[in-house]
This record gives sequence, structure tokens and C-alpha cells, in this order.
Amino acid sequence: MGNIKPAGDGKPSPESLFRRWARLIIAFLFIVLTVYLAPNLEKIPGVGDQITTLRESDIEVGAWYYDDVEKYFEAEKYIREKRGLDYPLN
Amino acid sequence: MAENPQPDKVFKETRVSMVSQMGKTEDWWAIWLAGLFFVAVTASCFIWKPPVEELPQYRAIMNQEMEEAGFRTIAYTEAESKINSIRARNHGFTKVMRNITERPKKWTTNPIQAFYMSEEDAAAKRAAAAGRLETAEEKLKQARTRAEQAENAARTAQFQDQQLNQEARAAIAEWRSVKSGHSKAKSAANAKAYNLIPSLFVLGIVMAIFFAIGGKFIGFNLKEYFIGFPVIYLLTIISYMLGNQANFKAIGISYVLFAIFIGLLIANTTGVSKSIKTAGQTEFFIKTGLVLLGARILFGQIALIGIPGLFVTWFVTPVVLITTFWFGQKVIKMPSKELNIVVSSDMCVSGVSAAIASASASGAKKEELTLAIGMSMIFVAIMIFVLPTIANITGMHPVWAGAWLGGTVDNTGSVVAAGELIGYEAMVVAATIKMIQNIMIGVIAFGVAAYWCLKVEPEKACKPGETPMKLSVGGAFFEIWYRFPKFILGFIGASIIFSIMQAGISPDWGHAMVEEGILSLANRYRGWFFGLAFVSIGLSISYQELKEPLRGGKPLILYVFGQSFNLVLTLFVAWLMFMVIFKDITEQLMLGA
Repeated sequence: MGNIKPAGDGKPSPESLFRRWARLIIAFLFIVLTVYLAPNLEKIPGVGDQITTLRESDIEVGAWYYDDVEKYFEAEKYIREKRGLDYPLN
Repeated sequence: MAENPQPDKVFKETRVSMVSQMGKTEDWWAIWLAGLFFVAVTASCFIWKPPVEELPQYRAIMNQEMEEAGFRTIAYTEAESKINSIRARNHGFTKVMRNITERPKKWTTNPIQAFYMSEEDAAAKRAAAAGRLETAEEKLKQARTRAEQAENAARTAQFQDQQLNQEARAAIAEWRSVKSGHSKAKSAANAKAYNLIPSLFVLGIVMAIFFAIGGKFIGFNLKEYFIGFPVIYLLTIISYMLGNQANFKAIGISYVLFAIFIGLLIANTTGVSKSIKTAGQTEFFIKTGLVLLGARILFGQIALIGIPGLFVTWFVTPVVLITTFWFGQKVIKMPSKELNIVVSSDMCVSGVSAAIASASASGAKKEELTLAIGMSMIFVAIMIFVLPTIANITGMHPVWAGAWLGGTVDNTGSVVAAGELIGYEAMVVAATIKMIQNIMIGVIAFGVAAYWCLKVEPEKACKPGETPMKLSVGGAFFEIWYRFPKFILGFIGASIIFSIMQAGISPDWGHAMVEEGILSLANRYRGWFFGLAFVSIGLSISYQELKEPLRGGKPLILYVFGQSFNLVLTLFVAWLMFMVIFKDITEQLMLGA
């Protein structure tokens, strides 16, 4: 990212200080509200049950690299066992 | 009045000597810092070494049991558990370095639990899990007795009776499965009180000093940097905390999205101070994190699922990547090649990790990376529910479905989640295919960097309308070397060194010292470095800049085209490989399922 410069290139809006802070606070309240409502995601018809399954399985769904996902190592072990790749190792 | 630029001044490049670059640029300092990290962690793992000398004796037991019985006996399983428990990360200073990197924990309704749990709450948790543990212990005892009886019967027949062998194999498999359930129950029943505040405080100081070392040479204003860093770090902690809310976590809304979003909010409302601008060193954090990530690209793992796995990943992925990039350039005429390659690799390689690597390799803008990550996360949240539903309704074979998910859903965590919604075998295959695809990002980053410095950058450096100079082989090599993003050398170097180290003395040693030692720590620190980077990205973008690449909806068209092509091609190739040509591998994977 050759064009990335230190943070803050984005200029703040030309509104008054009060309005800018008010917008920030409203946005944070929105985040708080979203967090507060998050447990209700499981009540959504259709996907609610699937969300419950994933929550209970404790999978790191948002993890973006394989070594952040504990289940991956379980999967690797399973594949090695089934394909006879782990015997004999030495 | 706008002046006409003087062509010879505008397009002339000032070349900086390599020695100067090595001491003053982020690319090189990312390598030096990651190198320093690896040296320190490796030294710690060797000084406070786990009992690796015991590994051969456990492995000998396993080999002897396998030789004798032809299947995994009780003694084999116990020796295997001993091997798995030997981990460098649990010893001495390595343990201390790892413990301070603890991220905010998962919570449901009370965010304080992300950081703190009192002794009373822990006791309540233990009490709640005590009943489950008791049941699990009883089950384990019974399963163990059945396994012992079956194995003894088979052993008495010197493992010559196939019927008894089969019974023993089944009883031991059941015991192993119950054992795993027991471990989970035990861990819940051993809930301990925690307070992450002190360790987070120490980690903040460690990371601030770590990056300041490079910053001093690169030319940071260190006073401003040390004032601004705590703010960036605090926002990173908040992002992790939000991303660990149980339901957000379940649908894949991770800290990445929160970090960028919070940064964006602040930058576009109150604005950010000079000190925060100085501390938000996006590129430096990302490049250092990427070099640490390189160590996890272990080439020994690519053959795990055989030729069909390689074909689904290393054939389909480049085909989709090149086709999507071509479509972006020639058909919809994307305004930015960098945005095109970042969206294309994010979509068809491995999501966020590939987006970061190709953005860094091509010199993409921060808003282009943000856009690619944002689109990918939205599509992923849909795909983890839609694809398993299609697979379940149509009754796809689990191995075929797993390979399809692994090759198409963007991030590993989401792939595993989608696989889990189909079944265990699908999850296992999906995770493995995605891991092989993850390993590809080293090659992709190298390819993108080489293409950009040989083809794209020289075009930019020419006068308008002029054809870039035709390069000789030697000239091309020099050109690539000069323009190449050097941190990628660190990224690839780390991959080579740790691939060799992992396979080095023995796979068991590699597991105990490299995977469960050095790489385990690299993973933790890398996560924090990327967290700092994502917050810094958000803090440096204005809404206007973000709207610009979205104009005309071209990135969206590109993503939808590429992903549709990917879905169809992967579906076909996975079917051809796992259901037609290499059916034996599919049968192997389903054995006993």
C-alpha cells in the first residue's frame, strides 16, 4: 500500500465541533445498541438455529487465517489419520 | 492557474541506494523487526525447552503398537496425547510472552467479561459445569473399560482375528471420542477467575517500544508516536472486545470490521490529532504482521489431501484470479488496477489475508483495501448460510461439498463454520482445502509484486503515451529487484525457514518447538499488529475517499462475476476430482464415517 499515509488523512467534516462530537456520540450509541441487540440474532427465522449451532460450536467464524481456527488443527489430524500420513513419523 | 508540468521533472524517478533503503524504509524494518521477534522467541524456546527428549520414546510406543495391532490402540492414544502435550509455548519466558498477548474473551451480554471475571463468577461457572463433568467422567470410565476389554481380546488373539480387531477398533474410536468430550467438560468445570487489564497494559508497552525501534530509523516523531499509540491500541482492544460478542462471532463479524468502522467514525466526525496520525503507521504494522504470517506458510502441508486438493486450490484459484482480473481490466474497465487485483485476490484466494498481501504487493490505496475487505465480509456472512443450505438440500456428498466450500468461501473461520453446518467430514475437507489456499498467498503476493514492478509501475513511470522501455533479462532482473516490495522477501524467507525447521529434526519436534512454540507466539502478536493496522486504516480514510472507488458499482460487479465463476468452476472441478477421478481418496476420507 504505497499510498497509505499516516492516519488522519481523512479531513474532518467542516461542521461545528459540537455537531461533530454529537455525530460521534450518536454513532457510538448505535454500536452499543447493536451490541445490546446482538443476542437476538438467534431469533431470526431461518438462520437463528444455524447461528445457535455456530455459537455453541465456538468456531472462530471471523478468523481469516487457518492457524487462528482451532478446528483446523482437528481437521488436519483427521485427514492425516484417514490418509495414513502420520505413521510412522520417525 | 495550473502550471503545465515539466515532463522530465514529473516523471523522473529518484533512485535511492539499497543500503540506504535497508536502514530507513518500512519494508526493510518490517523484516528486521520480525527477524528480531523470531530470534528472541526462538532463543526463548530453546532456553526454556520442553522435554523434547521424551518425544522419541512416545513415538516408539506408537510405532510399536501400530506395527503390532495395525490400528490405534489405547497405548498408542496415550503416547500420542503425551506428544501433543509437549509444547514450547507452555514453558518459561515463552509462556510469559504468550500470556501477555491474551485477547479479550468471548462474552454474551456483559462486555466486562471480555476482560474480567471474579472468583465468585468463576465458581458459579464451575458449579454449573460440575454436573456435566461428572456425567462425562462416568461415560469416559465406561468407554475406557469397553475399549480395554475389546483390545485385550484382540491382543490375546495376537491381532489375527479380524472380527475382534474390528470390535477393538470401534470401541477405541468411541473411547477417543468420549475422551475429547470429557476434555471440553473438564475445561468448563475448571473455569478460573481472570483479569486481562494488567497483561493488556504490558502488551501495549511492549508493542509501542517494538515499533518505536524501527520508527526511530524510519523517522517517526517519537514523542508524537508515544502520545498517539495508546489511543490506537485502546481502539484495537475495543474492536477485539466487540468482535468477541458471542453472536457477532458466530456470524463472522470480526474485530477487523469493528476496527475499520470505529476508526472511520472518529476520523470523519471529530477528526484525529497529529499524534494519532503519527502513531497510526498502517503500512508498518501490516508489513511486520505479514512477515510473521509468512512463517505460517508451511509448504509441507500442501499435499495433505493429495492431488485433488491441489487441483481444487492451485489450479482453480489462479484461473479464477486471472480471469477475474482480466474481466475487471478488459470488460468492465476498472478505474484502478490495484483495486482490481485486491478485490480479485480477496474474492478467489483467501479473503482478508490475500487482500492484505496483494494490497501491500501492488501498492493499493487504503480505501481500496477497506472496500475489498468490507465487500468480502458481507458476502461471507451470506455464503456461510446459503452454501450449506444448497449442499444439504441437494444432498451433495460431504467431501465434494467441503471442497466446494473450502475453495469458495473467503475466510478460514467462515469456511469451517459453513462446513460445520453440513457435517464433520465436510468441515474437515473444507478447512484443509482452505489451508492449502491460504498457503498460496505467498505465491500470489510474489506474483503480484513481480507483475507490478515489471509491468504496471514502469508504465506509470513513463511519459504519457510513451511505451515502456523494453527490458533485457538483466535489466528486468534489476528493475524487479529495485521496485520489488522488499518485505515480501521477509515474508517468503520466513516461510522457507520455518517450513525447513518444522520438518527439521522430526515432525514431533517440529510440532512441539515450531508449531506449538515459535509460530504460536507469532500468531498472537500478528493478530495484534493487524488489529493496530485496521484501526489505523479506518482513522486515515474519509467517507469521500471511500465513495470514490465505489462509483459505478464496478467493484461490486467484479466481485459478483468473480465469485459466480469461482462457485461454478470449483463445484465442477471438486466433483471431477473427488467424485470421479480420485474416488479412492474420497472413500479414505469417509472411512468409518
